[in-house]
Amino acid sequence: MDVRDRVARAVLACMAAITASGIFLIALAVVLGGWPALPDLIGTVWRPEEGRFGALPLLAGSLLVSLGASAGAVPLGIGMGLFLVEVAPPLLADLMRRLLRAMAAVPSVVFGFVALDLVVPWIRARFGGLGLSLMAASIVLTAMVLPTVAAVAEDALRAVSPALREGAYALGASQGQVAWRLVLPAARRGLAAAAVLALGRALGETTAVLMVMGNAAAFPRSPVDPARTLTSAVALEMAYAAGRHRQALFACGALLLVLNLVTMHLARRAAEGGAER
Amino acid sequence: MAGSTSILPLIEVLAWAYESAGGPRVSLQGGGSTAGLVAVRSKVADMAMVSRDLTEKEAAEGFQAHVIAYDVLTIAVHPSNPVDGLTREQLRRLLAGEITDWAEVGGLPGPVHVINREWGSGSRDAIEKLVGPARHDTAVLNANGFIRLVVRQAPSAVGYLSLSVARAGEVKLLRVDGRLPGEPGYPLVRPLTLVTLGPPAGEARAFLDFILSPAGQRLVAEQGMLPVR
Repeated sequence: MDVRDRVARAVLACMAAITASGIFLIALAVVLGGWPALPDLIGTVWRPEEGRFGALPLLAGSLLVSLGASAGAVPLGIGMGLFLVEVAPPLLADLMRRLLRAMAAVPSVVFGFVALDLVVPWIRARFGGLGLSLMAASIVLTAMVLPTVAAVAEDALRAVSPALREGAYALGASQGQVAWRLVLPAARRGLAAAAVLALGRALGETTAVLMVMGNAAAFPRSPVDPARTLTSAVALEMAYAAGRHRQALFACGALLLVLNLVTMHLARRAAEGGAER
Repeated sequence: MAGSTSILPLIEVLAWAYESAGGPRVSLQGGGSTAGLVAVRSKVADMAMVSRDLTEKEAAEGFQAHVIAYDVLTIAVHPSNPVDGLTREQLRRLLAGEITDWAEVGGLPGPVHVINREWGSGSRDAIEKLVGPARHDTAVLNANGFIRLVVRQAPSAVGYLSLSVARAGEVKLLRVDGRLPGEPGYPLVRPLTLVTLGPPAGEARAFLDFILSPAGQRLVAEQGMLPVR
């Protein structure tokens, strides 16, 4: 083998090693930093000033907001995917895809800022309260996660074998019947992957959530109550945390990492199931 | 420099004047009083802006506080709120969650939504010392400006923030024990300090001297703070 080839292979191997070690280092830092405080996280009261680090309210906040975002983004995203595959003429579809990409490029802090001016006052006017709430965060997260879901949903729907469609049309099915009873069920594995990806993405979001959720460190009693997530707790408190508090935040980081790994794994399991078809 | 968001607007004005008078660039960052101390401890910043007293532990570490002004902490509500003032005891009960309806203090019936600062905030520490702690499950926002934004929008909200930020307008400031913020006898006053690890030296010393000079203290008064006597 040529010397230049060998060098090139070595350089590429180095790059791969650096990339791979990145995730290991992050995991290591978070686990080492938070290890002693992990048992503290089991509890229902997050009051760092009193030395209580029960992270259940934070976990509940994270899960509720993310599930809310999925509940919004999954139907909308699948609908958008169906629209792009079955209904839209090519030029319109192209335009819509560009719009979605633009939406995905908007920085998180801009979403938060716009939500503070539009979503939060609307919730306050409609439901009372402060407006800073689970609901506000779910709405913002829906918008942030929608482009991803729509893109993955479109791919999943497009991947349905043309032969299946042709067969159905040949038997006299209408386009609506084909879409609803054939394409959607056939694509369900990929669509499930899209849903889980949405969840994972929403779990990790910090900035926009920190701005519109009110950050109350307690279990929310209604969707209009303020709440705090694992991510916003870390962002809010890390600047001044010390000692056990700091370790508890690292432990929250480790918990987030685990949650994300689990959702990514589930998403891949779901998607690969689809590929077998 | 890093630290209290209550002191930040004042220092921005002082830094601009300092640079205009030929001084070196001063770079500033918020994050809250305790975060400012963390920054100085880890040598990321030369001075911390701290709007509360140093704890015994912090003093033992060698932190030195230099008072540059006295800040007025205001209690802000939405402009449409008919309540004009509270006694200190009413304020204490309001923050603690014992008063839950605005009608109990002379306002229109409706729930009270207290907004607190994060635990490391100098403003929060000052309010807890001067009045009392807020209930645990309130909304928490991490800067003066953010509190002003939400109180400006939400008719049921009440929060505390530095006069220097509240002055920008659009919120109603309550009397406490009959006095408006800035009047003599207004009870919610606290020292604003710049904190160094060990005695101030070099550029930090020079900037501190500028702030304590008559020119600097005149700027302090213009910003709505009370100058060091």
